[in-house]
Amino acid sequence: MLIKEIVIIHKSLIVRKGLSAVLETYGRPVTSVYAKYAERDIAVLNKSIILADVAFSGAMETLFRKSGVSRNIFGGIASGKNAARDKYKVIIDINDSWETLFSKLDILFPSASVYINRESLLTTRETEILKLVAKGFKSREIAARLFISRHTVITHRKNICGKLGIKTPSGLTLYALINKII
Amino acid sequence: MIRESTKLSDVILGNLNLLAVLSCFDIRPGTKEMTIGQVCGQKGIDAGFLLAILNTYTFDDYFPRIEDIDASKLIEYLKRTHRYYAEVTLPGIDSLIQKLIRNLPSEKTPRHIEKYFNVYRKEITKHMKFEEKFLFPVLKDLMAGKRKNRAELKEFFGKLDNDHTNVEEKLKDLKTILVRYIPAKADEHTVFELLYTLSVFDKDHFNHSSFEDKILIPKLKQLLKTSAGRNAD
Repeated sequence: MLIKEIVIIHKSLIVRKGLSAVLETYGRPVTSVYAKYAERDIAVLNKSIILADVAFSGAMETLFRKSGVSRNIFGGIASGKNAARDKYKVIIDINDSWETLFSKLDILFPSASVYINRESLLTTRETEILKLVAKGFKSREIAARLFISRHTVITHRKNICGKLGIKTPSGLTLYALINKII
Repeated sequence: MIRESTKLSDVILGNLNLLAVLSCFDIRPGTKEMTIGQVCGQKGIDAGFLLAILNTYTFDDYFPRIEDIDASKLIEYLKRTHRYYAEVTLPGIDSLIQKLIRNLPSEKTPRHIEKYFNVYRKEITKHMKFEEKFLFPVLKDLMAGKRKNRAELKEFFGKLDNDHTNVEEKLKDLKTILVRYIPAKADEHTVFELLYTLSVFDKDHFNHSSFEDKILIPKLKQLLKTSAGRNAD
């Protein structure tokens, strides 16, 4: 299975930012970050590797049952002892050293999924925005079309450029034409 | 560091990309055992200026101080590099893209790349024309002590596009897309030559822009400040 998304769900800003930075260094940038379980998007979680606060384990159990998501792709984030540890494939402890943390990430990201297709990293929303950028729409116009804020469009655009390694609108148009996205 | 006593042939052998720079000073290979100082003496070139240029292109951590560069010589040099880009580099890239198109007649990708490059070429040509028509003459006038009235300066600043980032990023995007998406059946020598030419141009243009951004524009601002001070007297 080719994992497309990496999601962090944790109430602590420091943990979210810190773990995102660790995963960036590890070579698997995080695609979505949520502060609460309730903010998650089921469609995204269905095709994601999820690192969630063990405090959400009850909600995660419900998700396993409802969506049939394999618990093999779940990592828990904990500090100290917690009863829910056995529900996760790995438990990342906030006190883990670099070595321990990276060896745990190796379990979570088996070699087969490390060589991901960068193109497929784009989320459905990002592809939608890429199409509009490639057609020459400005962020303001895209925001109005998709009923989202201009700030959100800019964040998506930054993520698209980061994932594709292409920075200019005309470069994105060329990418979209070659890959038959438009 | 490259010095006046360095043999020109050693400089060229150390960095073949400098041939394009030297060509703008009308210096060609075949200078036997001559040092840079000797070649400059023979051709009437300011050795200090040539050394500043050669060292900038050779050492990433070297950049001359603004007071060490004669702005009028720099303008002449930049004009010559513009001509080199327009007459040699850009047509060279275009002919390699045409070669790819001929090589892959049924593929759309080289055609898309051609279109992208044509837009890029127009943009960079427009930018160079602006500099030659407005930036360089205004600077020369100010250096010669000529005053500019408010309307002239307003028109100039309205047109001043000092942002080179966009053209640089576009060139980098082209390289990225070529490496990733050129069909595998494309002639590898053409692809290699195209990527190599783009990389040399990218580096060259980066240095070219640095001279404009770090020397000419601060010089312009400095002159405008002096000129405004004189106007107030």
